[in-house]
Amino acid sequence: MLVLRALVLAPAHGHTIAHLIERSSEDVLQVEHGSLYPALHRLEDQGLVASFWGTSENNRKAKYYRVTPAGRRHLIEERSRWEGLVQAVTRVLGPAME
Amino acid sequence: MSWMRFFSRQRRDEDLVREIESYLAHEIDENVARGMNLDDACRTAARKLGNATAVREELYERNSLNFLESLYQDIVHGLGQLARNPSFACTGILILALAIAATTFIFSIAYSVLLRDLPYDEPARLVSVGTSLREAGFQRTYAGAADYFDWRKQQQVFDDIALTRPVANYNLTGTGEPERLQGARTTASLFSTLRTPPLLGRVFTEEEQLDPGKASSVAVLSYGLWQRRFGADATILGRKILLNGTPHEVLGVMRPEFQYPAREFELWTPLYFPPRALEGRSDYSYLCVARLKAGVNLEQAQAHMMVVAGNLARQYPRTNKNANVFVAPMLNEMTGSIRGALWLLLGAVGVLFLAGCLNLANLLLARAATRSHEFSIRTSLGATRTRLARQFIAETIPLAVAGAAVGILFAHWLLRLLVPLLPASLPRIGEIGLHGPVLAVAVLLSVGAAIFIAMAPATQVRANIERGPASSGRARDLLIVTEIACTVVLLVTAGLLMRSFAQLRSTDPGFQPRHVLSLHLAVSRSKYGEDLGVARYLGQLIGRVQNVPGVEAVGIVNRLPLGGQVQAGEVRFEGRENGVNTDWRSINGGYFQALGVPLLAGRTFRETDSSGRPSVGIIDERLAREVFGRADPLGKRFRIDFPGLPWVEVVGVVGHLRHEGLDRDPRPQVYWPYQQRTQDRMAMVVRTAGDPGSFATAVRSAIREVDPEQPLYEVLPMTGVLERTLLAPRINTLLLGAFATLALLLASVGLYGVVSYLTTQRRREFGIRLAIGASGVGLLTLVLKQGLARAAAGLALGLALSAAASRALGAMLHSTSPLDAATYAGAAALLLAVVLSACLFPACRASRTDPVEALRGDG
Repeated sequence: MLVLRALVLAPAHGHTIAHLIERSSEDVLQVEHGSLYPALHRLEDQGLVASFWGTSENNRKAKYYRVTPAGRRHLIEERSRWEGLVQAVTRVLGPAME
Repeated sequence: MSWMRFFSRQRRDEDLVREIESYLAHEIDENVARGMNLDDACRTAARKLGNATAVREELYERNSLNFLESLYQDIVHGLGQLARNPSFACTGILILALAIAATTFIFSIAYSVLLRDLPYDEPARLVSVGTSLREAGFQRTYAGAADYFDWRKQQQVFDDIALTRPVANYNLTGTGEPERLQGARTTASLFSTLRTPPLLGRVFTEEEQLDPGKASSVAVLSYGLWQRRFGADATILGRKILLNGTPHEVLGVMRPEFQYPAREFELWTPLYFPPRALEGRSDYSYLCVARLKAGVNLEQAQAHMMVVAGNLARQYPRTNKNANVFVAPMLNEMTGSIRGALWLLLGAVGVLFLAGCLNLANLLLARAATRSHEFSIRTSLGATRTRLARQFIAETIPLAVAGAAVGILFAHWLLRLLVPLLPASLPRIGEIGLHGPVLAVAVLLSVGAAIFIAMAPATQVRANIERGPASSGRARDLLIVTEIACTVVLLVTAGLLMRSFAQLRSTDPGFQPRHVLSLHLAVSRSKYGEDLGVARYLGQLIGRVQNVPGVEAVGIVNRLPLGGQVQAGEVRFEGRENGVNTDWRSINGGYFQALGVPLLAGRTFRETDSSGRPSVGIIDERLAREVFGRADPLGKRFRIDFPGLPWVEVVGVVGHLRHEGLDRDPRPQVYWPYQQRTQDRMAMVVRTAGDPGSFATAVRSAIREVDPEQPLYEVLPMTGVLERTLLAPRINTLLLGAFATLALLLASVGLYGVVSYLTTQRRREFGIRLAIGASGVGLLTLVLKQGLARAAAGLALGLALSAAASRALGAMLHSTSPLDAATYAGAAALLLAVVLSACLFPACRASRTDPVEALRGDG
């Protein structure tokens, strides 16, 4: 989901995506960047992102990813489900905190 | 999709390598830009990436057939689930096994009889050719002997054509116990038409068929006879066996699968016609089979033969004017009589199968509802709906495999157990078995059932997660209502058949079958010579049997009522234009007393009505009414319209008999004294003082005293003969009853489950109701109403479907309307009673809910 979110604004290649995720989570999510690739490929297999080879800012060849319409829909669905789950958990935990 | 990934694994890996390198290049650039030296930059970048090889390996793995792997895991997981819930597993497997067993059993019979190719070469090209004599009231009948020879000359659409007389009694004597064998006299072309070479030796030639001497001295044996009577002795060829007192040389033995015209035929001999025998052109008691030429289809053959029939009508206007020819596939002709019943059974078992699947689907839904917790967790961990659906299917696979295996085993036992109980006259009964296509269908059904059953919880996954145990209520309702509808259809059909059977059973056959022993015997002409000798012999037999203590009356007749054999034809009354179609019977005077047929006017035959004395006859009351109305028939005369046959004076009128069957009554009967019209194939009926079965030995001995070599066959009490006629409808009724019972059982258990579950759901609500003053009885009624609502919906649907479907029963119902109110009402009442009792237990439980417990409970 985080990957999709990162790509929503603009297509990016692996390196950029990794940095985006780190930055937007305020460095809380620090993962091995290598583990990003399986996730990217899974998203591609599910048809939520599409890839293409292009040239990056520093004139290097890089594999770019962009969100597909299906990907956009999925992001919206997942986001609302996630929020629902969070609310449910909060409700359960809530009274105990008091 | 994952298959494509599998094949492009290599390429994808190379692509990934380039992608990782690109990543590293970017990262290194950044690091350098931040001021690291190249070495540090490389190392840091590599560290940040993590283990590149591991990533490559993981993705390579993933592109493998991990679809299959996860399927395998799911199946193993499914097995585990089943193991942990043995009662659910056993129930599920049992239900599926029963459904598969019943369906496979019925389909195996239907396939073997109706669909499987006949065991001859190119069986699709074999056709039956017959005559339809519309005017005489026969729609389709056998072929005429005279016609056959003309067909053979004039036809151009058949490679080969053959004629068979499907009845010939051969008394086998001279080796061991005298036995009567059922044989068939056929033209030599039978074997070339069917294209079946013999197992041993040879078959007879046309030359032998046309030669009177040779024709009565050769025979071909069936495999069964060779095994049974001759111990599969290879030296049988060329040996002479005594058939009807005449030596016959055994030319050959046929293969075991050659069972033409039917399984009980054990001998084939040449069909010889003396030179002028066919002039009358009135002998229509033959079967004709032909093989279509290559490139000729059925319609063309039919059209061609109709032209041939037209030619014959012009050539022989007296006999062939209204004779038309029909050409039909041989398989259809053989199995036509049984087709309706088999389709009925297939339909019914299909409904039962559906009910079983619905029941199982309901069961799985119930289980899934209790696993909603597990599913929420799995979904939050990333499982997609497809993944969960696949999991359901995979879990159902062990269930389906086990159910199918057990089901096929059951079916095998059912076949072994029940096929011997089927009527022996069932066409192709010897060929019934679990053939390849039947097994394939069984497996296919199991797969289909598994998918259908798994779909139920799979489609409910989302609802399951969102609403937890309160989900899938709608779906379960739909399932149970449909299941109840299926049950109702089976109940109504079974009820209608039961009613029809009862009506059939209570039909008056026109005689008194109790205390009557029947037996058949064929007189060897070669031994007793002409009619005079045969008649004298028969008279001796009657006298001897009469003297057995306890015998009250002895009758003989050429065709036993309800015995399955016909001898019918026209008789013409003096002064009347048109002939009447009747059953022709030769009897003795004691026949009517022996069978218990009332004498209504005049007298029966006496000893003095013998050969050379005035010709007399007896007619039955139906014929008397039809021909003479209220006028007295005594003294009137009739005859068979054949040169040389005398006018016969009516001396008596008797009650009408049902000869063909309890459900059919096409013709009245006329009787001649056996001395004046002698036949050599007779049945004897003996009225006894006590149980007829106990007299069998005494009667046998009495007959043996006259001729020790006289074989007897089909010795059974007359009540047994009646039962035999009723066997087929009885089996239909029993099977339908079994299906209906099974379905009712399943439906009641299913409904119990649904109501029970609903009750548990509403525990809290019940608690509140009780707390605010509702009565236990009120709750009971509430729950009962829930159950009955669903049952009522199912009942309504089921009754409607039954009304539509029962139309198809049509011909199988005797004196019963397809919309018989009593049956429908009875089925409805039975269903409601069962449903009520199924709902009673959960309803009682609901009424005894402890309000405090309920309110405090799960919440």
